[in-house]
Amino acid sequence: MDPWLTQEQRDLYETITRFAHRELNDDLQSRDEQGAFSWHGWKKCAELGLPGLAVPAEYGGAGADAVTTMAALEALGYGCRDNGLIFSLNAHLWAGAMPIVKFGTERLKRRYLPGLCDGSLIASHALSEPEAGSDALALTARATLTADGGYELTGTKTFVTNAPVADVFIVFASTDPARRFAGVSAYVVDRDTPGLSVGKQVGKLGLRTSPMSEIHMEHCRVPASQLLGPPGAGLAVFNAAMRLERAFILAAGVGALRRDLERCVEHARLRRQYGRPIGDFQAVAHRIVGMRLRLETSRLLLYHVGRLLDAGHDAALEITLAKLHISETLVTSALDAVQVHGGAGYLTGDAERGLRDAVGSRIYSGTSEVQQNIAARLLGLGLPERQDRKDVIA
Amino acid sequence: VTVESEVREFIAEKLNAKIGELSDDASLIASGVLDSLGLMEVALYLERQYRIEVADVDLHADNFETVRTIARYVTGKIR
Repeated sequence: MDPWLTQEQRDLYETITRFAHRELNDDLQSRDEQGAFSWHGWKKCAELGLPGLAVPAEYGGAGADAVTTMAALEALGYGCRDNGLIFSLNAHLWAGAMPIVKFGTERLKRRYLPGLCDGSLIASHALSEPEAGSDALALTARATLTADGGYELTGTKTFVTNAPVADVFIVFASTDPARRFAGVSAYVVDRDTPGLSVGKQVGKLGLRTSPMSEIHMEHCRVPASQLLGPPGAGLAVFNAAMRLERAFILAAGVGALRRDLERCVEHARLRRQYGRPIGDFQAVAHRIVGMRLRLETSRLLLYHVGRLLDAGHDAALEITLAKLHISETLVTSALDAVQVHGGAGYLTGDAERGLRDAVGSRIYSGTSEVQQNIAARLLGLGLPERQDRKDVIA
Repeated sequence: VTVESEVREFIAEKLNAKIGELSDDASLIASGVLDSLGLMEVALYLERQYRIEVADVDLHADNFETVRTIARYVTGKIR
């Protein structure tokens, strides 16, 4: 019995698990070695509506609530071993489509969301720069007002997930560097916009099937109608996207934790040394129990966030804690999975790839250190004691 | 005690600004007092101090340009 999910959500979980097992794992080892995005997998995910899971139905999405979305992504992470494909899907949804949902004009929503939901368009989020990582808005990319009221974008963006395959980019640039965050705006930029070019795909430790590259903008002109929110709303767009991404991106990680655990249990039962299954040895068994415990705590935190979001809370602290815990758990348990499999786990394969894929979770969507900084502030550390408000003249 | 005076005191203490330079209408952004991290500090302070919710969509200069605009934002939320 799963206390978090309704029967309908459990059915969805089973459907997506079976779908992922059947459709998304082919030729994974080869694609991982080549850093090849799975177009087949993307199209299959699109047929199931996954690229538009949380997008309102009126724009072609599934309009799923938070817990349902988490259940779908957890099932995807459980059934699909291609963690890179899932990462691309999350980047597309949370940092590409949802900013348009939350900040786009009706015209932008109608123009982009149906294609982003049916998978015919892939979105990408272009914020980071060589000197702007955790200090995300210390941008050098510039947006200059043009005579016709539009903008001309110039600059280079790094770590742009999906860039090699994307059709549309959410680009952040500043019209006034002296005004820091207040000068930053977000623009929706089509891939074929003159002046925009996509760099060579970069190699990565893990998530290699999720393509990443730089993008370059040189006198790249966009009309004012491509602005997300009012001018200067870049921070608001970024914060909203990151809050969503942190809340949901590791739902698939919880599914991966379950998959890795089950594989370790099976291996510990079947693999024999000294005449008995290695699971008989406490050193192995305790390691696997630790994996199960971390899966349970991760899942509790994840669905606690889902319930809070569905009840209308912003859940800022809970989202941060869940992201921190699940990402650290992914790495710890992936290391354990390698250790349980011994020499075989060190060879190229599921355990080895799982470990490489896990490491990124401590960095993307805000590093674990940034999550702890956010949590500390949300706990009120460094803030003065709240005063009695009766004497305030409003 | 006014919202302006409390906000001014907080900014002076947490963002290392000189309280004498934080007039009601001085731009906190143009003067460099308020960067994106500082903005989040101020937003959290407002949420705790006045028990309001500062939504992501509210995090822009119209609300956080000066001590006066911050106070106006807070009083608008309290009402």
